[in-house]
Amino acid sequence: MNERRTELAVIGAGSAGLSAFREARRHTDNVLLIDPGPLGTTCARVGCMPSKALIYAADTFHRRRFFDDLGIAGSGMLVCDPAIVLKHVRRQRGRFVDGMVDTTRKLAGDRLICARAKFLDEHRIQAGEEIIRAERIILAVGAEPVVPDEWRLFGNRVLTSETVFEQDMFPQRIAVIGLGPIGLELGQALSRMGLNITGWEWMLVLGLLIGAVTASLLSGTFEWEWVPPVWEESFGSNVWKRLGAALAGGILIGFGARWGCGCTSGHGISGSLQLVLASWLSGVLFFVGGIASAFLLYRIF
Amino acid sequence: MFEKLHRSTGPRYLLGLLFGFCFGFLLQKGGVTRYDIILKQLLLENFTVLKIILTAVAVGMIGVYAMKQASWIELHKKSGSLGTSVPGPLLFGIGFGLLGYCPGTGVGAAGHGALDALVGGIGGMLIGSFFFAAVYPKLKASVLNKGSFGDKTLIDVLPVCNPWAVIVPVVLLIAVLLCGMEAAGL
Repeated sequence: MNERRTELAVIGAGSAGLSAFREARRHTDNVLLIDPGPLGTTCARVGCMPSKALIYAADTFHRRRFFDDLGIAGSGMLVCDPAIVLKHVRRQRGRFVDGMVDTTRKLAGDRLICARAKFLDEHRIQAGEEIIRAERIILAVGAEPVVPDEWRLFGNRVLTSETVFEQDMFPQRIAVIGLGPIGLELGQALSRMGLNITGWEWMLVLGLLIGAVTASLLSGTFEWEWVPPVWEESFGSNVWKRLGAALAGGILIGFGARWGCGCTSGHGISGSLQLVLASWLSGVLFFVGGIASAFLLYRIF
Repeated sequence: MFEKLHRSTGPRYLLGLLFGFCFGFLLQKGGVTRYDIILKQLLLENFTVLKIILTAVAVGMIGVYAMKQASWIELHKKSGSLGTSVPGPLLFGIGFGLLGYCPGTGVGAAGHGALDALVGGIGGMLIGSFFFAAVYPKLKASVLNKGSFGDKTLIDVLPVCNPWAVIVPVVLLIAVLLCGMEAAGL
């Protein structure tokens, strides 16, 4: 394997590495910049820049509290949708990152090596296929959040600065661990957005049950029944057989509805009427699956 | 206008209850909380379920887009990807054929005393959701984001500027389908 010689190798193309590289280039051209990616710097990708965009939205919303003092009326009508704020943050972040990646590539050109650097000895670094012998080496590797092993029990409920801006929606309550600048900014932004997203859907389910019972009692059709007539015609009146099929069906429905993010009401009616593509696709596939399994059950077995 | 209501805590619960009540009452009256009706739909013998869904979609589409145009509401769209919107709904469909109720009509069926819906159906759905939560991290890392197409609507992907250029034809198409089903005696 050929050795590539260089006066200076800068490991890490983040804010510090880029500054070091820029400064070094004023003295020599013989500098290499090594980074495995993703390029764009921690600051622009998952650090202070998206965090600032988040806090800007939250602060803007927060300012409504002082509107009355300033003679601006109607602030009680304002609402903040964290899902849209997050989209905005990602859009802004995309622009910052594109800018930084551009800068990095323009600055370093073919002196940028996109690979993870590994020290072989005090002067030699392996970066991908290449071995680099550098007289001087600058380490600017930055940091990334670490989730301790015992915290992994919480699975995807643990967010880090790497994932928090990728969420579609914030949960109702979030604990921020770590009061560094990013932690403080996040905590303040979350609190100022006034997260209070409660589960009104359960009221809908309760209402549905009460409505159905009411209609059934009013029409005099209420009757406890384990086995529906059509099932009984084909498969007999055995309660356990029917319950087994219902349970298996229920499990598949619960699993599938969570997987597909909705059911025949959420996608089939509510989503389709908003003309959402995901809902039309889901709506059709509900029936494709349903028709297939009903035909298998009744016509084949 | 209604967005504020949507986010206010107290009235939202009450409205949830109220709309749920209407939904349940009408599902029951429409007959689609019956296993027999739903299964006959899946066996393509009785088209009540499809007729109710299509009518609700056509009426709701006009109402929702009219309210959106008046800035009373915002759309609440769901994002999709091939990794979520294909396998999930297909599994759902298979379960739909076995159980003979979907989640909404299952609760509605419990309302007229269907114990297979109450015990097997709703119990199963809770178990199924639990299983999903257990495998979610793995699915998220592998398939969920494959082939993502976001929360685009038909209006976004068609070369039109005015939403009504899509809504009117879709509603007309639904009307033709409904008339067709009635005429065919389905």
